[in-house]
Amino acid sequence: MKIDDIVAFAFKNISKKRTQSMLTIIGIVIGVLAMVSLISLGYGVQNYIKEEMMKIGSNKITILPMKQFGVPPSHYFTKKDVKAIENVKGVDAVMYGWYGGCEIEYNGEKKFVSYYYAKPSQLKKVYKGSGYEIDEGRWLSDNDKYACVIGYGTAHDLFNREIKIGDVIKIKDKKFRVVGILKPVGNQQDDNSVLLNIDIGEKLFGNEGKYNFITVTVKEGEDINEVANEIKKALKKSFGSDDFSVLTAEQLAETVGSVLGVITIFVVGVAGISLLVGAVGISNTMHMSILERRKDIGILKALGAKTTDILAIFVVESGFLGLFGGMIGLILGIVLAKFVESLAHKFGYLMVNAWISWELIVGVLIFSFLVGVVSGYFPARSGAKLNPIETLRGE
Amino acid sequence: MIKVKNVWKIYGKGEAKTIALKNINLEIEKGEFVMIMGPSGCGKSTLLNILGLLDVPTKGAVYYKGRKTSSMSENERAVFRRKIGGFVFQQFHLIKTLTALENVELPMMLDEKDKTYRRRKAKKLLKMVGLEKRINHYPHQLSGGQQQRVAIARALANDPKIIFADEPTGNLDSKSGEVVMNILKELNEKGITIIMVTHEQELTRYASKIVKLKDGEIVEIVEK
Repeated sequence: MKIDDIVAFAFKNISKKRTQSMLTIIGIVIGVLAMVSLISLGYGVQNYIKEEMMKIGSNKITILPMKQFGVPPSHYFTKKDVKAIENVKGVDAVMYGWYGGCEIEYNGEKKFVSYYYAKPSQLKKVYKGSGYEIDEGRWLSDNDKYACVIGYGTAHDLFNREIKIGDVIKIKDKKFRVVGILKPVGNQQDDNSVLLNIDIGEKLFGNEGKYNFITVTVKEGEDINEVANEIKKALKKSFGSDDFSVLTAEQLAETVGSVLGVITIFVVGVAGISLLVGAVGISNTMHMSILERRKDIGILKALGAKTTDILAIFVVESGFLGLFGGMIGLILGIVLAKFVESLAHKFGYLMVNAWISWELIVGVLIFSFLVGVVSGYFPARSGAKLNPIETLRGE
Repeated sequence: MIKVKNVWKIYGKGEAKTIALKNINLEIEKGEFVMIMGPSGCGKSTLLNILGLLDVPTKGAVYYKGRKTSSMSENERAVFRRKIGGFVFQQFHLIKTLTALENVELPMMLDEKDKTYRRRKAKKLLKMVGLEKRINHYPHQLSGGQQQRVAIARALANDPKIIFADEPTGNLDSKSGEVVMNILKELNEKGITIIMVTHEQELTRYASKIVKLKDGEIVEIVEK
């Protein structure tokens, strides 16, 4: 039998049993729907983070006092380390300071935010053109004491009453005047933030002379990776151990990306289980369908169909069931991902993006076709082996 | 053309053993209209299935034009059924999801004939059996007699040398039965060998040879 005839024959069978076919593919639809939307959003977030990291600056190096993310550092950087880095050839500006979380009070309400402190002039220089821009008011200056700049979220979303320029917030029972509000960055941690001058910040949080991050900008025309290596060498001497990490924007993006990648794989694995359930559903339907059509198999054999023809008809039929399920699931998955994206954007999570590409679409369609073929193969094989005389007898 | 030598068909083993055919010897020449007759359960359908290569004998041999068909592979037998034999059944056995035209096209599809040829040939065959106005009907929209005529058209699709008919009139009223028998007779006159199983005595007038079976054994062969 020719392949186009096999396909036409399989199609005919599917369309004749429309309701049954629809019910069969629901499992595949749900599995593919879950997979497509999760992959799409997972990669979308990864890509966004990578782009943002690159935007923050391909000329920036971040230095943290621990080897891996999430591990609490055993000791912190000091003025001596900052000096050592400043002396490295190719280093332009060095910003050092502290980031952490604290509670702030405004209008009688208390909320948790992230705080950063550094020297304002350095902060301005290092963050220039990296997305951290003033929306209202002004930047901190080196002479500011009880003044602060707050993130967009802190000003507009966090408290029942919006914070305005000139308002006063309390941090650790000390009053700070809000002099500037940042533009939205797109993630909650950075938008719900408070920026302070290092002079006051150190005293307030009791970390005088200790820094848990250093950010360096590299002079134009210098090779960033070479400068990063030099910093590593210099820091090893002054820090006394190699329990720190020197990350360029690219590496930072990769590190974050790989963490997200693991999460994506896990979530897609869960979606894969639902797809497996869908495959079992197809297998079951093919089995039923072959039982129902024992007589047709007998007729085909009596008319001279080879075992392989019958196998091909049923396998192609289940392959197409899988493919149709994949197509519907793909469309619904894209719609869902786009819906989540627009919903997230509405609430300020700009990092949530739906990533849709031809590779994803083609990959999903091929995959769902194969799921159909594999789940149809075994019932089809047992059907193709039926003895025509037995299936045609009686009635 | 067909030679059957010492053919036995035995089902089961030991106590449950049943002998369906007992040492059958038979020769059928080209152009004959053979009727296999006998009471139900005498093994006549089994014999037809073995002649038509739907089934294999337990012992003995069947030859078609000198070639031993009883030891052919599954695929070789499929090719024989497709190109040399055509089957007509008592229950018509049309595929319910296909129209009359598509049912007739099916054996040609299996034989990898191209689409336009198939369509033309199927229409011609349906016209020949008087169903040119019913080509797009599904089996359930046709009467029993009409369904059997579609089945005959289907059996003729790949220009077979032999038609194997298992009680083709068994489910039909006498008028429809006669229409079917007349078609078979016409085909026989055109040179196609007909081998038919029946238990209706009055149909023997169409036959050129009658094989009488009882309890799996040939009791009489009548040549007319």
